[in-house]
Amino acid sequence: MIDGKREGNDKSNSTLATMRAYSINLLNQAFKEYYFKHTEMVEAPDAIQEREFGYSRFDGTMIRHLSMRDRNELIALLIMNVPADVYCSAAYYTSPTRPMEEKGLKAADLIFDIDVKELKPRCSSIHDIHLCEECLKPIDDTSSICECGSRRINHVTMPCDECISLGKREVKKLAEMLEDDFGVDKDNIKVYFSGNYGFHVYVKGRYTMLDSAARSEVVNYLLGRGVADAIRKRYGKMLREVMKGNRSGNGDWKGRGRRRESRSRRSVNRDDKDEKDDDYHSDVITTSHGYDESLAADGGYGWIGRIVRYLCSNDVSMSMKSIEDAILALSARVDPNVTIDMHRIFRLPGTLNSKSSLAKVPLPRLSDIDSFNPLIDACLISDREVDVYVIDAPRFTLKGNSFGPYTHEEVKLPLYAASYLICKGIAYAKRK
Amino acid sequence: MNSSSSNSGSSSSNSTNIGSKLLARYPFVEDAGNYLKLLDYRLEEFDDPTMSNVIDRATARVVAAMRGVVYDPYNVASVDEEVVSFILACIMVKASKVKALYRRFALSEARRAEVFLVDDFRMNTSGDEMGYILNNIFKGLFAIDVIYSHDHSTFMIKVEDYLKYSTNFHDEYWRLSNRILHKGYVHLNTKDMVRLIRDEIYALIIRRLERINVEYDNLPEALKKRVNALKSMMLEIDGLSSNNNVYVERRGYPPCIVNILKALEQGNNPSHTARVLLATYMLGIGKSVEEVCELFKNAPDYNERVTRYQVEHLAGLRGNRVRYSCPSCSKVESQGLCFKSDECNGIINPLQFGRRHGSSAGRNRMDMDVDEGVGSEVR
Repeated sequence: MIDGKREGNDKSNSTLATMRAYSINLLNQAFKEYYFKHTEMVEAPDAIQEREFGYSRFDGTMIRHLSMRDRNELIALLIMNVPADVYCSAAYYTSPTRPMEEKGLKAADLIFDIDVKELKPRCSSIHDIHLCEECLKPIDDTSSICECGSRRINHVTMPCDECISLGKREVKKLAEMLEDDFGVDKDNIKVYFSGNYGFHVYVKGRYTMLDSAARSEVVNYLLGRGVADAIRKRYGKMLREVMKGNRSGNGDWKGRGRRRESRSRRSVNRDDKDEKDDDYHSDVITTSHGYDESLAADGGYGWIGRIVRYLCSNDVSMSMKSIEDAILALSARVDPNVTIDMHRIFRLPGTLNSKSSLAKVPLPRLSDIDSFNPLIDACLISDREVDVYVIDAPRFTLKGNSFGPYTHEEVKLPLYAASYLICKGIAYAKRK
Repeated sequence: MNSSSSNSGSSSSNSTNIGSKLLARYPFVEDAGNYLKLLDYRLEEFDDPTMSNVIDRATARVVAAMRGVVYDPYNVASVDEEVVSFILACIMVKASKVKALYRRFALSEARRAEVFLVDDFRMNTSGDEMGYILNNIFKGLFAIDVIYSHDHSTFMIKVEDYLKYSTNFHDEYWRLSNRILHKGYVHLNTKDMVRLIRDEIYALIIRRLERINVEYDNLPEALKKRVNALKSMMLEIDGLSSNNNVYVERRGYPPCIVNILKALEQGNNPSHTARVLLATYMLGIGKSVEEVCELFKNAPDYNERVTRYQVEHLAGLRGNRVRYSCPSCSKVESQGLCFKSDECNGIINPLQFGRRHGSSAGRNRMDMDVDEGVGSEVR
C-alpha cells in the first residue's frame, strides 16, 4: 500500500516503476475499449491516400511516414496498435511514405491552433499544479527546481470552464475574421477541441494551395502584426495632434467610425448607388495613399475598420496605446508556427489525446460553440470504476461529475476520471 | 456597385479596335506575335530604307533600356510602329547575346507597361478598354481575376492571388495586415495593383525573349549594324564584356550567399534584405566596396550611384558611420533567405561558414578578424 505523504521518500524506484507499468496497462485498456466502441468517432481525412500518418506508443516511441489505403486500414491500425496518440498530415503528398524531402508536397489544409496555455488564463494559478517527477512533491509554480534538487518538473494543466471560454473567444474571433476578411464559407470552417487544452480550426477549400510564406502572412494578419506600425506611419501626426488637444478626437476617428459603421450596415442591406453620398466622401482621410482611399470607399472593412468600431463601441479615446490595446483584444491568438509549417502532422480527429485521455472532437456547427463543453462532450472513456492512487489533484469536473480535491490518497474513480489523472501524470493505477 | 471584372469580357463589336489601340501600349501580350504575322513582315524587308524609322524606334527602345530609363512613356506611335519596333527590339536584344541586356530591356519595357497601365486606369478608361486590359493582361497572362469598382477606383483581387505576388516583396508596405480585406478579396489602388504584376510582365518579356529563335548571322545588314552598335554601347555603359555575366567563384560561400549570387547571375531581382545580406557578408569577409558593388552589376535595376551609396553606408563610410554586421543565421532564416545544408554544420552566422571549411572566403575572414578586430560580431 502506498503510504500517503511519505510516498515520495519511501517508495522504492521499483515500486514506482511497477505502478507506472500498471498505469500504462490501464490506459492501454481504456484506449482499446474506446477504439472498439467508438470507431464511428474517428474521422478519416479526405484524400486519405495522400496523407502522412504517424502514431506514438505509450512507451514514447514515435512511428511516422505511414500511409493508409482507406478508412478500414486506419481503424485496423488503431485497434491493433492502440496508440497513445495518432496524427495525420495537414498536407497532401504524392508519396506520403517517402522521407520528407521526397514526399512531393501537393497542397495542405490551412489549420490554426489555439493553445489556451499561451493565452495565460488567470485561473491557471488556482487549478494548475506543479509536481516534482522525482519525489512527487508539489512545488511553487515559479520554481524551476525542487527542494530535492530535481529539475524534472511536471507542469499539469487542469482546464476549467473559464479556460475553455478563453479558447472559445479566440475561436470566435478567428472564425469571424476568416469569414469577413478571408471570405471563407462557414461550412468550410471546422472547429475541433484538441483533446487537451486548446482548439484546432481547419479551413478547407480555396486556401489549401497557399505556400508557407503566404500562410505566414495570413497568420500575421490574424495576429494584427504590423497593424499598429502601419497606423502610426500613416496617422501618427493626426494622433499626436489629437493627444495634444489641438484636434478633436470625436470629430475625427470616432465620428468617422460611427458613420462608417452605419454605412457598412446600410451597404449590407442596400447595394445601391446612394452609398455615394456627400457624407461618404466628406470624411475621407485625404492622402494620396490608396489604403486610405480604400478605407473610405469600403465602409471601414479590414483591420482599421475593426479597430475604429472597437474604440467607438467601448467609448475609448484615441491614442496609439488604445489602438494597440484594441489590436490585442481583436486579434485571434493562433500559434504561428503550427499554421506556417505545412509538413506538420496533427492529431487525427476522433482519436484520444494521451495528455488527457479526452478525444479530439468536432463542434457540430460553429454556432454551437457556446454550448459545447469539451469536459463533457470529449470525455468518452467508460464509467467502470477502478482503484487509483492520486498524488495531488485539485477539484475537477468531468462528464458533469465533480471529483477531488485529492492529496496522496487512494480512491475509486470511474475509468474516464482515473485515466484523465493518469494521463496528467498525477495518479497511478493500483492494480494490473 | 458599378464594377467590371476580368470575367465580364469586352464582347462589343469594337473590341478589335480597342485591342489594336491597347496593343500599341502593351505589345508583349500574346497577340503581338500574331499581329506581326498578320502584317506579313519578313526580316529581309528591314533592309529597305523605308523601314529605317521603325528600326530607329526599336533601337531607341533598347538604348533607353541600357541607360535604365523608360522609353518614351508619353508618346505612343501607331500600332504598327509600336508593335513592330517592340518585336524588332526583342530580335536585336536576342541577337546581341548579352544576357544583361535581356534583363535591362525586359525591365524597361515592364516599367513602360506600368506607366501605361496606371495611366489607363486613372484616365477613367471606358468599360470596354478596362475589360480588355483585365481580360488580356491580368486574366489572360497572369490568371488573376480582378474586379474593378468604377465608383471608387478600387481593384479587388482574391487574397490568394495577392499573396502569390506580394510575398515576393519584402517591404512592410505589402504585408497583408497593411491591406483592406473583405470577403476574401484584397482592395488595391491603381498604383499598387499595377506594381503587383510588374515583375510578372518583366518575367514574361524575358520568356518571350528566350523563345525568339534568331541568329546574328541571319539578320539583314541594317539590323546587324544596329546590333553591333548596341553591343559597343553596352560595353561603354557598363564596361562589361559581351558575354558579361559577372561570374563569381561561389565555392566556399554558405548556401544563403550562393543562392543570392545565383539569382544575380541569372538576372533575377533579389530582395532588399537579400542584397543587404550579400553586401554585409562580402564586406565581412574583407571584400572592398568596389568588389561588392561589382556583384550587383547584373541586377536588372542596377544603378551604380545608388548601389555604391548603399554599400558604403553598410560599410560604415556614410551616414551614421556604423558598420553593419552580417545578420545571424536565425535572422536570415526569418527573412526566408536560409538554404541550410549539412555543410552549415550548426553555425550561427553565415560568416562562420568559411571558418569551418577553411575556404578562401573563410581565410580572408580570419585574416580580417586579426586585422580589424571585428570578430565579435559573429559570436
